[in-house]
Amino acid sequence: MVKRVSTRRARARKVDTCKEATSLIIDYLNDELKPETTLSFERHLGMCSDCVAFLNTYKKTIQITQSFLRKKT
Amino acid sequence: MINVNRAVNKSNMEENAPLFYRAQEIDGLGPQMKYSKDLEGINRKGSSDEELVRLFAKYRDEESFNEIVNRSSDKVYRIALKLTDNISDAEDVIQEVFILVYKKAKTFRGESRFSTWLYRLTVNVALTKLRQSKRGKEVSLDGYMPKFREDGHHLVRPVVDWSQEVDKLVLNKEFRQLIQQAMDQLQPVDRAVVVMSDLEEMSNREIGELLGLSVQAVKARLHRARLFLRGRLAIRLGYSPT
Repeated sequence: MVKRVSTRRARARKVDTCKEATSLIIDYLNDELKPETTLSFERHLGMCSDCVAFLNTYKKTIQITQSFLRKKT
Repeated sequence: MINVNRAVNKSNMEENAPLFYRAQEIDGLGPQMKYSKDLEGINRKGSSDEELVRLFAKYRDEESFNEIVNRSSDKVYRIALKLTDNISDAEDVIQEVFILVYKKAKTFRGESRFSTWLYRLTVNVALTKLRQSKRGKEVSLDGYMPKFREDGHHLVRPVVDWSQEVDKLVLNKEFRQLIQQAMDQLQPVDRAVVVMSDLEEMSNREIGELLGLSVQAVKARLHRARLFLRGRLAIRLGYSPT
């Protein structure tokens, strides 16, 4: 089954803090952010190694969960 | 191929009693089959699911019901096993789902495909089963949510990027047990959201429709569940979960 990506995008937001960035991770990974918000999100990542680490470990968690569930079926 | 009769027999049924009679018994013998010329010459195997449900709902046609069971039992079992993660529970779910099909066939209005209707029934029955068997095993996820300073930056710094480090552990049996345990500690609905998203690769909208949740609620549950799983992995590696 191909993952469907929603075409609905939230309104544009400015990402200044880690708290804001973290709350947008799920929409960022689903490509559901407005282009301006994506730009702002990625600009924050460019300045914040903590959020890069958080995003990398979040994505790794998804990979590990997927791999675990697939092996069980 | 799942043996539906095996699932049926778990509930003190006589050997090899067909599910149709089990459902009929539970339904208080319900309306009996109505003989009609409409049923003559019908090729059930060549009929659509929707047509079979219509025939069953209208005439209580045993052959139509059995054809539905034969076609769908594998699918129901597969979904039930993914959601309950327990063979015995999944077998119970099959039985309960087809009894519900028997009882509720008349309420199927054909507004959605039968497969969608059956999927929804299966998810509901499996979640009920999971809630019964997991009662009290769930943990609070609050301790695994990221914490922030007043200025909105991470409270625990630096956030360690352990995404490469964890690769060395993924084949480790103890590590797989840790993930299994963490999945088991999720609330049934949260677990279902993770399975549907990460394994079935459904969209948040599809998941919401099946579980009766808004898209925002699906996202919130998925995010919290992932943060919990992330936190459990971080702790295993010796880092802060937040």
